[in-house]
Amino acid sequence: MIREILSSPGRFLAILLIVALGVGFYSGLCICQKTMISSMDRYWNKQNMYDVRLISTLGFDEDELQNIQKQSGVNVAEGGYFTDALASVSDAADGEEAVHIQSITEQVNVPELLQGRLPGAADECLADDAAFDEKDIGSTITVSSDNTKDTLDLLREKTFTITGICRSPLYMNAERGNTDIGSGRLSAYILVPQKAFDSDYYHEIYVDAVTDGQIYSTAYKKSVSMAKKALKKAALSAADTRYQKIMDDARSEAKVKIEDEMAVKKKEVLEEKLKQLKQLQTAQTAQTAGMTDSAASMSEAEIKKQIESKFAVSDEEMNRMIDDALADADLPDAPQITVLTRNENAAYAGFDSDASIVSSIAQIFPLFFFLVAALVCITTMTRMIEDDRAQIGIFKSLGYSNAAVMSKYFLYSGSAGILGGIGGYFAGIWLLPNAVWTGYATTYDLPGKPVYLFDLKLFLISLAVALLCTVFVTWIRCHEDLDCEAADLIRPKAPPIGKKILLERISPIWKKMSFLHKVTLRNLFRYKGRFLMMLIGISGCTALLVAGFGIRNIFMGLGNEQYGVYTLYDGAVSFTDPLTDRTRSSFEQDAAGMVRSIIYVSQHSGDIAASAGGSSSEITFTAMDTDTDSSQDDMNVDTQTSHFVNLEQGGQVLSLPADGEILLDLGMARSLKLKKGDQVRISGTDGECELTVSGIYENRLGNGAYISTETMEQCFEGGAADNAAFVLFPDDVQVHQAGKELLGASNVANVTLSQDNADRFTSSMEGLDYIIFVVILCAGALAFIVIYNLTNINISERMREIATVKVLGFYENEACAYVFRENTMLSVLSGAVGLLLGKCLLIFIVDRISLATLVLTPQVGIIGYAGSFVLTMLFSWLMQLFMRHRIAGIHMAESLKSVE
Amino acid sequence: MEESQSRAYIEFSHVTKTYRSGEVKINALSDISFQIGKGEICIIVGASGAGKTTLLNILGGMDTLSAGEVWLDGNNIAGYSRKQLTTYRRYEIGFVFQFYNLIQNLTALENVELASQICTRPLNPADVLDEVGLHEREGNFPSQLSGGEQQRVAIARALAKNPKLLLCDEPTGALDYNTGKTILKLLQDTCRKNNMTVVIVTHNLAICPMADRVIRVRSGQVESMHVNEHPTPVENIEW
Ligand SMILES: Nc1ncnc2c1ncn2[C@@H]1O[C@H](COP(=O)(O)OP(=O)(O)OP(=O)(O)O)[C@@H](O)[C@H]1O
Ligand SMILES: [Mg+2]
Repeated sequence: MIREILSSPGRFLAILLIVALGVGFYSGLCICQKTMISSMDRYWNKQNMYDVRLISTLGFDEDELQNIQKQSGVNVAEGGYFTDALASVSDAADGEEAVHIQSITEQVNVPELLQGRLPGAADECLADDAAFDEKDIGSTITVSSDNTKDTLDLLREKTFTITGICRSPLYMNAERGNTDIGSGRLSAYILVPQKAFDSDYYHEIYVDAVTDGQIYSTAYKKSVSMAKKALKKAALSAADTRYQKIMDDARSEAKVKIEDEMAVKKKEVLEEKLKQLKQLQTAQTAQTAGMTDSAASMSEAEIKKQIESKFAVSDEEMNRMIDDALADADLPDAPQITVLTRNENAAYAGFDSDASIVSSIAQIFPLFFFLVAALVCITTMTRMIEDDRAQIGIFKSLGYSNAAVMSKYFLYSGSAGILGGIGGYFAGIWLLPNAVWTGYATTYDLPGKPVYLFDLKLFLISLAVALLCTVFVTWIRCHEDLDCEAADLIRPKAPPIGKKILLERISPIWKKMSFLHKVTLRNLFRYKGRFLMMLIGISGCTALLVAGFGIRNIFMGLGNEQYGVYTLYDGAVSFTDPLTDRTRSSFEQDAAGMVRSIIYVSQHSGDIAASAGGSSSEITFTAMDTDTDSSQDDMNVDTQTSHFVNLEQGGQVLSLPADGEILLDLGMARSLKLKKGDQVRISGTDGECELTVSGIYENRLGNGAYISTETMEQCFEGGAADNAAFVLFPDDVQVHQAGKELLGASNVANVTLSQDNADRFTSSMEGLDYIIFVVILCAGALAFIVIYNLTNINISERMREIATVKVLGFYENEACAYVFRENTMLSVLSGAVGLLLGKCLLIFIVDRISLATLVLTPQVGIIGYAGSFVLTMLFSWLMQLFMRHRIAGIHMAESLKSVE
Repeated sequence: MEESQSRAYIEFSHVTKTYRSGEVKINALSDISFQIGKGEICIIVGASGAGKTTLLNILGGMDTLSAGEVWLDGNNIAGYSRKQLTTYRRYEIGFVFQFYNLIQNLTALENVELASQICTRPLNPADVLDEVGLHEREGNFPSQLSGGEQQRVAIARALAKNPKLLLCDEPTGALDYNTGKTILKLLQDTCRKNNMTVVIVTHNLAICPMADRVIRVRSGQVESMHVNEHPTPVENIEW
């Protein structure tokens, strides 16, 4: 056995490797989702990611926090503060961005320090690793004085020095969330010490609950929903108690105040009356002493009594007055507790489905490798058994049983299968999740390396499939031969009979072909099994490459397509406050001349869901202001919206939504399963609206909905006022320069350049190259194994033929060409088939990657096709180069000595 | 034919071929020397294992030798590089194998074409096939031909190259009396017509009269060499 393997290590290795490749791909892809989720689970556990988050309209005081902490099922509860504020980074002239400022929690949602140190003083902070890096340590973040008074009052410090860069378990994807200030999107978060906040109450409580199971598991969901219920109850009763106390306090305070006020008034009136009395008395004395007057005769005591009774109020009246007073006073409403879970965390919500994309591809790729593995095995075993025919015959004639004779082949193929299976399994479950993890790191801020998961069931399945591809096909193969009689076996098997191929019947073509091409063609059709194996293997290689390049092409082109074809404006301006006529004209005064044209819009984010039901998503609504005129002569307010955004569907320009209508982007429409004419419900800060989808516009990246100004007004507080604008810069200026200048204009909070967005997206996709590299490697391995196996068998089978050709005087090149020409032909043919197959594969993959924020069109591009084809040919050529020495090494005299 | 005239054409001088299988050394040819003149028909006879095939292979540039020199038309082919040997085989040699070695996937005609298409002055493949009497069978694959027919295709293949030296290893080994005779006649006629040198290896001593020269080989050495001044035409030989 060992001797058998050593005598032809190439053959054995070919089976082993192709099985390993198949099993590796299969197990790797299968385990990917599990690995990703386990890794994330481990990380979130390590950082003590919250399970439940409590928010109260009243805030929480220390007692309430203790109360929550005391609840059963609570590991740790920790209070925190947060606010969104406009802020700017010291040394960058980037303008103001909306930043989420959050207090550092020490036991829950522990930030992972990546660089620098933890903040100590109140004016120090940790910064978001997505927006900042090591060189930002030491720079300062200044909270703008444009922020609301509440925000400014809440923060003790207005300037924070970055002491470290961190990764927060709360922010594991690129999403930073929405806000009601600035552009409406948060661009980063910073974590500051608690003492930086000046507040009597915690804004939120993060709870690490006792939970079962892994994230996304039913057990986990169940335990969280139980904890959620219990905590809500506890929090609500505590809040109610405090609210009662606040109200009681306010009431008694108000009562005291009213009484005080009344006392003061009473005193005033009394004094007035007494003064009048005194004047009256003096006057009387001065006129006639004898005259008596009732008024004058009123005693001081009487007056007091009279006033007393006039100011006396009933309890009822008092309560009414207190209520009136309280209604005017700035008192909180009855407390409302919102209980959130990880589902409200963007990264948590998306990770599950994103991780499942990979396993959906898992079904098709490995199938294909296994098919090739089975073919490689069958050709090799066929060759082996044919080599040994005579020997098998002798064994059989000596009385050995079929099983005994077959055992050698089973052992041979089985050991290749098992070794390949085991090797492939362990390599696969390590390499693929790593590659995918790295790939996902472009959209998720993933920590370190994924966990290494061993899955026994998957392992056994992999081995079973490996054995199926080797031992089983060997068994089929053996049966064919071993069912023959011993005598037949001892006689050499007639070589495959030469046959005319179909093409020969088409004389004109056949006659025109060169002699050697005819030979090649005939050989091609002689061994159909090999033809098939080569076709599947090589076309598979090309298909893999096409899909790989295609995915890269799709993602790399996405940014430029979005900002070249669909988003036409050069920059989006967000204003510090909604514009009034006055602020608009002062902005226009500054900005006149800087922009070629501008359109004002009102943008707010809210939720959207199909009225028919289903999940809801967050989206930014835009209402374009097509009525406003410019206040400046040289400010071109352009109300032609098509100059700024390309809203079209299938080449048809869509009209702007009327009142009660909404234009939705393709990605969101697909994810919510909406089509034109469907009803949707949107909810904003000021209520809900039922709208009709009037059109679905094509888009590539991100989501957005267009609604009318009227609808905006209905759903959002201050929705009618413009708070942003789209601008086009003059053709002859550099956009970055223009953006910077515009940022200086009054009331401008920020300018987002489309160019930057496109570049950022493209550069964030660079991790894809890693996955493409893995694909190229696998494709190469596939091509090599198939070509090696085939050529190897071909050469050993046609040894005599090659020797004859060499004796006839074919030079080495010619002899190689004689053997390889059919490989080359097949490679070209398979490559062409592979291009088609690759396109199908890409369509399949793209179909599986259905993210709301991405609309992918499976386009490979000429470079992708050409590259795949050229690479395939290169693999094939390299292999031929490698096999040349085999042909050169054929010894003519030796090979031709034996009987045929 | 005068021996002095043709001496220079083929000359084996102290040629030794040693096969080494493990510890054991086998001398297939040991210090063998002889000459063959141009345009001669030379028959090499000897017992099985005497070294006839080895000798022919070396002469045909298919095998290397361990010691000695092989001169052909003034060139020592023992010193040839691989590429030179290939060129030598391509343009000078026609080889007829003991076991035909036709290519199974090519028709009779194509097997001949395979050889003729790499030569500079080939004969017309169809004509050659016609000469060996296989005109009717030119479209058949080897597996559809009898042993004798296959051997004739092999000879046609060698002849079509129009070589200067034709080497035949047991060309009649697998053939019946009459077919063997036809083949030998063909060889003799072609040799005479084209002034081709023909070397035939055989066990069959009876055919020796047709040759200009008969070399007897025994355990790798020349046992005797005999020049036949008046070779008998094949049709007059009986065995
Ligand atoms: N590759 C080899 N390794 C070892 N010995 C070999 C090898 N080839 C040939 N021999 C030996 O060399 C000797 C000469 O062999 P060769 O084939 O030349 O004999 P032959 O005269 O052609 O015999 P036959 O008439 O049976 O064909 C034989 O003893 C043979 O065993
Ligand atoms: Mg022999």
